[in-house]
Amino acid sequence: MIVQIRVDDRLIHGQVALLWGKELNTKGIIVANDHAAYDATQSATLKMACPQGVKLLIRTVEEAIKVSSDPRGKDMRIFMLTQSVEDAYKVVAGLNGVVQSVNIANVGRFDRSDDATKTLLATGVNLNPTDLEAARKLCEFDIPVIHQVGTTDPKTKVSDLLSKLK
Amino acid sequence: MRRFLIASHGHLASGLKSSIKILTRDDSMVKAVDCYIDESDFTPKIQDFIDSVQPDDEAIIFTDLMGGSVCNKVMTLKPELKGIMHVTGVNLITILGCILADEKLTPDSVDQIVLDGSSMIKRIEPSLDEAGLEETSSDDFFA
Repeated sequence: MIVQIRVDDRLIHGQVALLWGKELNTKGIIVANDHAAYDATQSATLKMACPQGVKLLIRTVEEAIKVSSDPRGKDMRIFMLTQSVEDAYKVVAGLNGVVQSVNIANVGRFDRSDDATKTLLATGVNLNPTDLEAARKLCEFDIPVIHQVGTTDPKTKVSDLLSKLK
Repeated sequence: MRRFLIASHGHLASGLKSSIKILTRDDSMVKAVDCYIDESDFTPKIQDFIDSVQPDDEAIIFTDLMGGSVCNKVMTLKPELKGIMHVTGVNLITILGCILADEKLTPDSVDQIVLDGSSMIKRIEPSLDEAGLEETSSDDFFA
C-alpha cells in the first residue's frame, strides 16, 4: 500500500530521507517522475539521498502505477514521491484504493512555468494552472489530501486552502 | 533534554543553526555563538550554556576547528565536569545526526555519529558505475 504520496519538487532530499520515512514507517520509496526515470544524473542524486536499508524504485509515472498495483506490494508500506500535483493525481486516479493519503508539501519553485500564472496556496506551494486543477480533482477522492511540510508541522486540509482562494 | 551549543570563528555557528531550522523545522535546542565578529569576549556565552546544563540533559558543544582558539577555549572551561561532550570539526550532518539520534547520546553513540558524518565528506564520483549506484528491479524492491 502507498501510505503517502508526497508532492515535493525536490523529490528525495535531506528532510524527506531523514524524517519522513521514519515518521511514516515506510520500507520502500517509489519516485514517480518521468524525467528522473530517464536521467542518469538525477537518478544518481536520488539514490545518494536514499537512506541505507530503504528500498528505492525510480520509475515513470505510468510505470510507477503499474508497479504499485503489484500484489507483492499489498502489505508493504510504501512512500511515493512525485514532483507535481498532476503526477500525484494520475497515480491516485490510476490506482483504485491503493493510495492512503496525499501530502502536497513543496511545489512550484522549480517547475519552470511562469510565476505570474501561479496561485499561492500555502508557503512553498505555488501552483501552476495544471496543478491547481489537479489539486481540486484530488480533493474529490475519499482520502486525506493535506499540506504538511515537516513532520512536526500541523496538517492543513488542502480543500480548506482551496476554499479560501477567491 | 537534548541541548547543543555551536561555537565558531565568525558566522558558521549561526549559519549552521539556520540550516538546522530549514531542515528540521526546529532549532530551539541549538544555541549558536559566533566568535570574533566584534571586540567582545565570547567566553561568558559559552560559560552560560555550560552552567545551564542540568544533570539529566544530553548536551554537546560543537566547535569548528581542532586546535583553534574556540576549541581551546571550550576545553579550558571543562564542560566534561557537567557531563557535556565536546565535538570539534563540526559539520551539518553530524549535528543533525545528534539532534535526530534514536539512542541516548553517550560518548560511544556520539563517536559513531561522528564517524558516519565524516564518511559523508567526500568527492562526488561523477561516473555512476564507479559510484556503485545500481538500478533496482521491482523484484528487489518487493523482496
